[in-house]
Amino acid sequence: MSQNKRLASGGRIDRKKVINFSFDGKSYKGFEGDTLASALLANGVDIIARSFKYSRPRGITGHGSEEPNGVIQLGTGASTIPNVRATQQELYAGLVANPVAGWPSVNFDLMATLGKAGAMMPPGFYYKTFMYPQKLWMTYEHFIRKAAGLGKAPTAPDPDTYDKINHHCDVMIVGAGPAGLSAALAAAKTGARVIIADEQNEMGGSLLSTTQTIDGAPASQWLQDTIETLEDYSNVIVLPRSTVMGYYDHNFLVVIERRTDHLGEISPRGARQRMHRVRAKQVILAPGAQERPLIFANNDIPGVMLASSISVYLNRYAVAPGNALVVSTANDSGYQAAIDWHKAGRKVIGIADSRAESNGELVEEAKKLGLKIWFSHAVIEAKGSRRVYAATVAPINAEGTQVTGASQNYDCDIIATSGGWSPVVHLSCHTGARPVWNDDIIGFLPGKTVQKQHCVGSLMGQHQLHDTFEQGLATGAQAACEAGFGDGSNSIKVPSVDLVKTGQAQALFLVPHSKSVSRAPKQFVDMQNDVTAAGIELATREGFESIEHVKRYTALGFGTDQGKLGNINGMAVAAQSLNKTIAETGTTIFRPSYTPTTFGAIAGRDTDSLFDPIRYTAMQSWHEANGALFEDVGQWKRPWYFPKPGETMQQTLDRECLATRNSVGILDASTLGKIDIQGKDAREFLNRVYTNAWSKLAVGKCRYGLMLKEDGMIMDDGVTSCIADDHFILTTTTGGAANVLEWLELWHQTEWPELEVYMTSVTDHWSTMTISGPNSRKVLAKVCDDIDLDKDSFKFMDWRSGTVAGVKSRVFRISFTGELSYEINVQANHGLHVWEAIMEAGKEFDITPYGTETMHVLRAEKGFIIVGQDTDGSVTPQDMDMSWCIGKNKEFSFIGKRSFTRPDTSRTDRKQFVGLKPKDANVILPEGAQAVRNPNESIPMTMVGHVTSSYYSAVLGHSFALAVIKDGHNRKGESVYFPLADGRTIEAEITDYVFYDAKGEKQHV
Amino acid sequence: MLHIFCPHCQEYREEDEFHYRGQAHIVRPKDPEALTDEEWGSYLFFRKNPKGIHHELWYHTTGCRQFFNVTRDTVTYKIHESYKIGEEPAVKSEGDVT
Amino acid sequence: MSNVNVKVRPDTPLAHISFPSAKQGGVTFQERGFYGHLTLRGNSGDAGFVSSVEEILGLSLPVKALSSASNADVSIHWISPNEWLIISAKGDEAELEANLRAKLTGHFSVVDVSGGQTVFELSGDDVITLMKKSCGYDVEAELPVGKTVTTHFAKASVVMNRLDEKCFMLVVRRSFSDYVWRWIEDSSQEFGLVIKL
Repeated sequence: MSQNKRLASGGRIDRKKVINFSFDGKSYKGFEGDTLASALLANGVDIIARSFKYSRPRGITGHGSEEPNGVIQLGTGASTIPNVRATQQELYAGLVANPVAGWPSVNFDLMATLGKAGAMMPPGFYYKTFMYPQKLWMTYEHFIRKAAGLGKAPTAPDPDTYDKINHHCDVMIVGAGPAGLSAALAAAKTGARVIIADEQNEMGGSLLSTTQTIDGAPASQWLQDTIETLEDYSNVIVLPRSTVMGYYDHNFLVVIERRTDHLGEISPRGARQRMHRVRAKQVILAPGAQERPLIFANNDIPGVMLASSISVYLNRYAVAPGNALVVSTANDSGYQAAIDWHKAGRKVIGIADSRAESNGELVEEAKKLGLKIWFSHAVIEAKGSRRVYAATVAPINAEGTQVTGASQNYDCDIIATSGGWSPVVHLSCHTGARPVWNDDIIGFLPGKTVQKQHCVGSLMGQHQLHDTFEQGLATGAQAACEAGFGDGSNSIKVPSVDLVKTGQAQALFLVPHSKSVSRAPKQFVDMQNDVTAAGIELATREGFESIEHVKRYTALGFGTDQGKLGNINGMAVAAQSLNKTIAETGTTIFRPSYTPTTFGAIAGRDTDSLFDPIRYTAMQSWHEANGALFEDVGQWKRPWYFPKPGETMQQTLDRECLATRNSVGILDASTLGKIDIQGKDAREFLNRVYTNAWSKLAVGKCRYGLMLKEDGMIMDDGVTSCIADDHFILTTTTGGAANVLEWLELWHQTEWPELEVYMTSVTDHWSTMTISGPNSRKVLAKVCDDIDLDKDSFKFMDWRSGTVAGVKSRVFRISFTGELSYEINVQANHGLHVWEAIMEAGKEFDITPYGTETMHVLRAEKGFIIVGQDTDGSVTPQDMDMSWCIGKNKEFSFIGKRSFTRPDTSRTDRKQFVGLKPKDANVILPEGAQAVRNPNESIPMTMVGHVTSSYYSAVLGHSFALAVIKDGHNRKGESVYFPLADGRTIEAEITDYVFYDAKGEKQHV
Repeated sequence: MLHIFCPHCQEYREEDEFHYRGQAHIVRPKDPEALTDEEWGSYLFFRKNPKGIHHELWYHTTGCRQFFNVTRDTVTYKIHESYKIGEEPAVKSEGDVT
Repeated sequence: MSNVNVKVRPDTPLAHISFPSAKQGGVTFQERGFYGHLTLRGNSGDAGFVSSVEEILGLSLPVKALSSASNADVSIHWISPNEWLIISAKGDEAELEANLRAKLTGHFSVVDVSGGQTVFELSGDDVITLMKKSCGYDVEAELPVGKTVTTHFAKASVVMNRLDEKCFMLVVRRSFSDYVWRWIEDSSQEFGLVIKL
């Protein structure tokens, strides 16, 4: 029977547009304008889900983002989404939805049998029951995991894209109900930049289902006119379908706009969701208040719904989810559901009002309509298992703590409950302002905040539409004024709305039962985590007296609904159980995200190849064209090695290393940091930041420098060259460039501003290519004829200015390979041109391009350290046998110097830099392998150091490594052992760290 | 994300343009060799961790590349002022907050 | 055979890109390659420094934070209280550097950074939305024509100057240009992108 719960007329749906969809494999029809929830209710679908712990059947409870039970799995395959609230999902053609739990099906769930043993599954059940024996926990966990859980994550990449946009505005308004919309009108009029966002697909909030008139016309008229007015302003951005998910420091708000989730499973047009990042001068919070249910026995059976949701389904979606209604309320607003139900032609069995009397208008109207009212009564239990079939109504005392007489069962299939209205304070506490309990409104109000924030409307416990417009307009004008627009007064005419006389609401949260809390049928506080009133009482009895502990022990508020319906009730139950007031008990703080946010929206376009900048040198296209494989060094891509067709990596490395040592190789070294330092105090500045002495470095000369942190540990290194007496170029490691520049500025600006130096980064300006090997001079001579390359004219550690391949160049005779080596620097626009020219010139010498791996091997054969590879921030120059770098007669106590004599740095058993020669020439030690002196020592073994760099050397004919070993400098010749995770133990001899050309002759040829 | 006033650029910028460098006003000892190990260790490692007013050093990395100081409340994250290196903060304790 | 006198061929940072050739779009992109870029540092409180710069460039040194000055060929931009970026469309940075070094006295520094950065010009009806998708700077209200800011564009650091109501100049570091270009290409898909060569 199709849509048997749909009313014949009315609603904001379009009956001309029929939509086919499926749930749990069955086909149904709905209309455009439906949510999945309203369409399911229209079709009489009762059971949507199974609860988390007890697997109890659950149906639709509410109508919006607060929905705890009607949570479904949307879609299939790569675009499936778990735990979508059916109440927020707009219906689209072909929508596919499935339950998130229930086996074999949501209608017949075997886990429910276990659930019936629920008395034996109190809070802490898993922890208490499955702790021992400890070694079986992983076995238990495996089965518990299968039994629990909601929803499935997709297992293929998301086919949709997402993006972000940044806004600055004067007034950001959260919530487009009557308060938010009127604030927007007033603020927009001043010319302020206004953004207004609402999580629903239509702006309007309570106006979408109210029956009150505005200026004598239906509310929908004022709503339509207002939205048109706002959309006409060029200084207003209107964002429906947009949830403000987080409110961050200094009025920074994140809004997630669902651009296409109402159109289909995959976006038909651009980004599926858009994150709006808003920096607002003033924020107006107008998110309204959330109705909370009363708690009573079996209040989770399908058919128990929020009273205001009944009105929404009737008025907005033209759906009556049942036939016979019982209302249980502690305030006037619950009567609206009965009135609307009656007007829709359905049967109202009766209204149980926990209060003794009320003279409110809604009560008067209910009486006039002849509806049955039981004052001082409440529904104490719902009857049914898969659907409500009756409500147990009983008289209760004025305090709401006891049943005072016999109860009576009334046949019905809907129980509408209204415990009261909780201000939606969530965003107000994201930046730390704890909400404050207010007895007058029976709710928490936003706490005192340092943010430039205004709160208006139901958020402040103000529910009269009559007053809301005036307050909204005034707040909008005030906020705009504080942002610098207008004088704070509102000139827009306040719409006329009737004042609805209202009786005093009662502070009732847990409805008493004829049995005690621990013996009555379950009274659910948090539906999503199956937390009951008994569970909360148990928690407090076990000593969890802070509400923060009660929350975490019972899992109250943990679910995807973040406790929107359960938290306040939970606090009240805890307070009662502890014999405290709610004000004394307090509340836990809400945190972003207000409703679940998909990771795609958080990533935006910063994904795949745009995840992080990939930085390239000027020679990248050549490397790619010549078969290079690449390595990530920081954000840079550097050629790793250049395999020829058919070569294994080791074969390539062997070839590159041998070619470089025997003839000539070329490396792109452009990524290293380069900093230009100018000023008369440049030498003094360098003296202070490096260990070395710089005072006497002549123009045209280069020197290797070691940079330490104040704690004496090596931070960075590089060659610094003297361009002029007051002009140096300092180089850094690739990854350390930005760090070093900031470091230098830190010392200059905060400690030594009197030193006349200026630093400028030139990392990108210079392309750098290094040619190394016995034939490198010959190659250079073919492309450069204005530098005297004679070995005694252009010595090792000199640099010269000249022209290379027609381009002005600086050539540095420095070597990281230990071979004759020239580092050619040209302005980067010419980098590729010069590289190509050198490759051409080097053809006759079989010039071999090599990458970072060969670079690593060659320098390691010479025992040259790589900061960040052989050092890790915990080694000193002395540890690395680099005392030769430390200037002996430097007047200034350079950075790190004082730390050489700290007790820790002057220990004698520190890890020291050594070489390692594995006993088996073909075994390569893993980098990071830990060394022990005695391979037979019992576990835990004493670790005395680790491998920092490790390779096979074609040049040496055996494997080798660099390492830091305790007292290594005194233990050359000894063996150390490396027990590996795969069970092998590798033996290696401690050697000198220079394996090749120990005398260092080759770089001088 | 914090909104920070750079006193050099003289306008507010987003926090991700800056790099936080910890406690402000730490002066390097003029004569490190004269300090005991304990005094030197204190300079190296010990930092204030107040609940409330904190004076801290920031660097405008993706901006003017200048350092400056900020007075920020570590509980509310409210920023009371930004001031240049060498200047004194106007807000030194809770009592100075207007 | 020596190739000492081989013809020199310079490449801009986007020389490797095969640009698409759409005729219509809401955003127009142009790389202004081979401009001369100089980083000048000095003391704006030194009258000699200020007047020397003005004499050589024919423009007043911008001393107000985030300001710039420009004529047909040259622009100079405030980067920090003691740093300016000089951009010369003529590509005559070597000459400018030599003149500055000859004229300036006191504590200053001139550094040629032409090889290390390039200029992207973005314009079009949708350029402001593109800017909002790419950076957290308030280009709508806080970036009038002539103002220069150093800030983020996507995840790269750029120097940004507004040339006209719907025209922006980005100075992008060479090694980030490929990333910034691909970001622009990606985020302008919804508007359509026109390339000016």
